[in-house]
Amino acid sequence: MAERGFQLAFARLLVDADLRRTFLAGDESRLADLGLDTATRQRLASLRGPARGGFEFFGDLLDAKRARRARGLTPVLLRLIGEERWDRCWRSRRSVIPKSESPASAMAEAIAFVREAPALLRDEPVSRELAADVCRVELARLLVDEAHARHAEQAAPAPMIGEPEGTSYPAIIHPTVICGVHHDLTSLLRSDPSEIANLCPPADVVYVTYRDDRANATRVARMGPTHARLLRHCDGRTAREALAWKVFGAQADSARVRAAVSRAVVALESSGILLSSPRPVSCAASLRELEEPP
Amino acid sequence: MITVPPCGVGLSYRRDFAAEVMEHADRIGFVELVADNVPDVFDLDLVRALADEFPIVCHSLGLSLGTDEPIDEVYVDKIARVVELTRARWLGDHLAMTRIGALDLGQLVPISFSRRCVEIVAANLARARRRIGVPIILENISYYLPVPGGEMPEWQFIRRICEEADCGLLLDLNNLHVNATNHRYDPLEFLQGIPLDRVMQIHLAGSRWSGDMLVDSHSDPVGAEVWRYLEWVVARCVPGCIILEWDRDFPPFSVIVDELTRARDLWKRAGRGACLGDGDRAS
Repeated sequence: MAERGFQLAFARLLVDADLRRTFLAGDESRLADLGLDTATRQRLASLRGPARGGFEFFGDLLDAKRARRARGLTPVLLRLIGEERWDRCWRSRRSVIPKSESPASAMAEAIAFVREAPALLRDEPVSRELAADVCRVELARLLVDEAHARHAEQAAPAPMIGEPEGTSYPAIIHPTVICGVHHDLTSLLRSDPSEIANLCPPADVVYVTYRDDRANATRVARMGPTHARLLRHCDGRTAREALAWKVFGAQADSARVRAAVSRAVVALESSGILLSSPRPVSCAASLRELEEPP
Repeated sequence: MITVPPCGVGLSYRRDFAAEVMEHADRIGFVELVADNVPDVFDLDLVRALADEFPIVCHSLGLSLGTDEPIDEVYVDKIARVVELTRARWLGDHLAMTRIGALDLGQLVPISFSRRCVEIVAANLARARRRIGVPIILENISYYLPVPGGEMPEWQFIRRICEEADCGLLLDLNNLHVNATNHRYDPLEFLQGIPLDRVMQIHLAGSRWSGDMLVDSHSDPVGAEVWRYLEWVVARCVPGCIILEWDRDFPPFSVIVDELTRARDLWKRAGRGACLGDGDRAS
């Protein structure tokens, strides 16, 4: 028990920079909940002695490693605000202690970070609205990646692409997130950072982030409002023929409208967003929609 | 009982040089695969293709054998499946802690060189062996502070664990160089103290200075000291394989091939016999 208590306290001190600072300053109160015995407290106290330099160095090394991972997980935000601002923003975030209950603690940290980043950027000379949109798109991708990591080993049904013989049920089987933003971010990854504001004109745009298992990749697709509405009805329980009625109501009487919906379904299947099953399937948890921030 | 298969020189696989690995397959005797990366980074088709092309040794990062808690059975099960899929000759993990309680440290954290930690590692290794069907060998890690509570030097700690758990050793010579430099101890005393007859694998890598600490960077050429240690070790034991680790800031692949060639030449000069990856292939 004594070794476990020591290891638990040592680990906490390594992953939490604030806790490490206060501990090194002599304040052990935030470790009180561990109920450490005197010998263990003395072992920990020796970290303030000759080992202090190595302890601080290692803690900083862990922080830097986590920051490097998070930078890699938020490439669009990094491109928008640059490394210096990104680092400043990361350092000022609320400390998030990685938890092993999460399938990927790095993703959990990055998710917490992009949720918080728009507020952290309030004093920086970047467009708050644009930064908020970028964070939403980053969040969508991270949520898809996290869901994929959680369910990576579950087998998905084999896809049917194209017009089926009988009735089929288009479904979003893999993790997918829809989010609306107020800037067209399509050029962001290709553009020079200094031109980002000009290249991301204000526009109401819907992005769909989804897991394309055929390519083993997460993809972001810009989508028109009609396609987005259609996608929301592809719940695995609505037959392909009924989709036009759900999306267009009475207009679905038109053969032209029904054909257009059919083509859209095929296009969504081809891009890997939709899979069609000959029987109704349950996929209620696959689609998630990011609400507008308050 | 330690059984040592034929020696080869190879490298730890990274997606960044996937094409080059296949192109230079005749120069690579072994591939070390980080099992944690399957299937998220290395998909199953790629892993099968590698296992068909190369002898594989698996490496894992998260057994956390040094944690004073039972090992994570779900994680062990995942690693065991990768070992089976790749027909790996053995699995290497670390004398370290990577998680405790609800904390996932995401990093190899050192443990105390104490009798209690010898018992903890041996007990956790025994648990892992129940599921993993190949030998599990233990690697010395780099560390930047001696963990409070130590009762013996590192070499003695390693020797005691190898004896208590009857396991093989993955000797990381760059970690030795980093530790000996940062903590100012004699690397030769370390090498003379560990059980060389249990060395089944050797790791080579580069290091760089960060302030006044030498860091195990895995992004630089192998240092002169590390080559000297390798020469010393292969003159005294027959490891199963020698693996080069290079994780980021990748150089032209010819640099990596040159490092492999140097290790292979050194092996041959020591009169240790055939070496896979010398333009031939393992069956």
